[in-house]
Amino acid sequence: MPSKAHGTIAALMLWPVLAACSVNDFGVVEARAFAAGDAKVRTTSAVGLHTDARNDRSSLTLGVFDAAWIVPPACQDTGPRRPPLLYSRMIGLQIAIGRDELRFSLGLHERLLVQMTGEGAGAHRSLSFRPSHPDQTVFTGPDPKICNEKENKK
Amino acid sequence: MKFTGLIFASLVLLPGCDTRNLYVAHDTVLGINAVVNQGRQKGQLVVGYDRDFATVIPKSVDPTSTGEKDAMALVNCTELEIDGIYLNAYSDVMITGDAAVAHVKSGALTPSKFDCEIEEG
Repeated sequence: MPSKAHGTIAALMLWPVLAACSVNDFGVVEARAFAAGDAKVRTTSAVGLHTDARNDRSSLTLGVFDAAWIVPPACQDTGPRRPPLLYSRMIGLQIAIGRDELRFSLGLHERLLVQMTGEGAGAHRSLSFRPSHPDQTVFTGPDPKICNEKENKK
Repeated sequence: MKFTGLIFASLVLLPGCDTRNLYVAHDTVLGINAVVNQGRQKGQLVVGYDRDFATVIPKSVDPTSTGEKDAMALVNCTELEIDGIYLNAYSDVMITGDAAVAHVKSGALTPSKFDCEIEEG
């Protein structure tokens, strides 16, 4: 009987986690897209156990996961490999593997990474982003040509 | 709480050959954060609170119209707005390469004339 009770308690404790599982934009997750000029802003919000394998990074999160990134016009179909703007916020426990690092986080981890290419004749770019209002994002600038390579080969 | 970083880093000459892209990064940690690079040669452990805001300007980009290969020419204005421990807003205006050089030579590079205004488009 005690073992059965323990099993029931364990199942009840794990139920919220198991019930809220998501992988990228599939599962218990809120995925949205907004227009920002010719570009798009995509967002993902998940609670529970979330696995994300996009934007040159893979992560496993237990808790709250929010991410937003800009998709340049040239990458609308394939998705960007390294977007001009990548924002993520995690509250809980996360293990992440990127191209350059392995990260373990417990608590809050918020990150914003913005990049711009320095090629050729140069360019002018304007960017404005609010994590709480991604629909108000302003992005004008050159196409950085950093689309997903695997998708481009199709 | 509002941080404003105004950077006029134009025509910077730095030797070496590194990344080709300009990076602006903001990173906030509250709790425990452990990072190790893929080569396991560098690592960082943060317990508590830490916030970083950095700009990495590439040391070497494509040759210019004169054939020279320099550091990225950059005119940049970045504004980071923080609300408590969370990022509230980020905005920037960047001009790179020959366009930045032309911008400097035009005499427009003064703080009063380059004030982070976002051009709607």
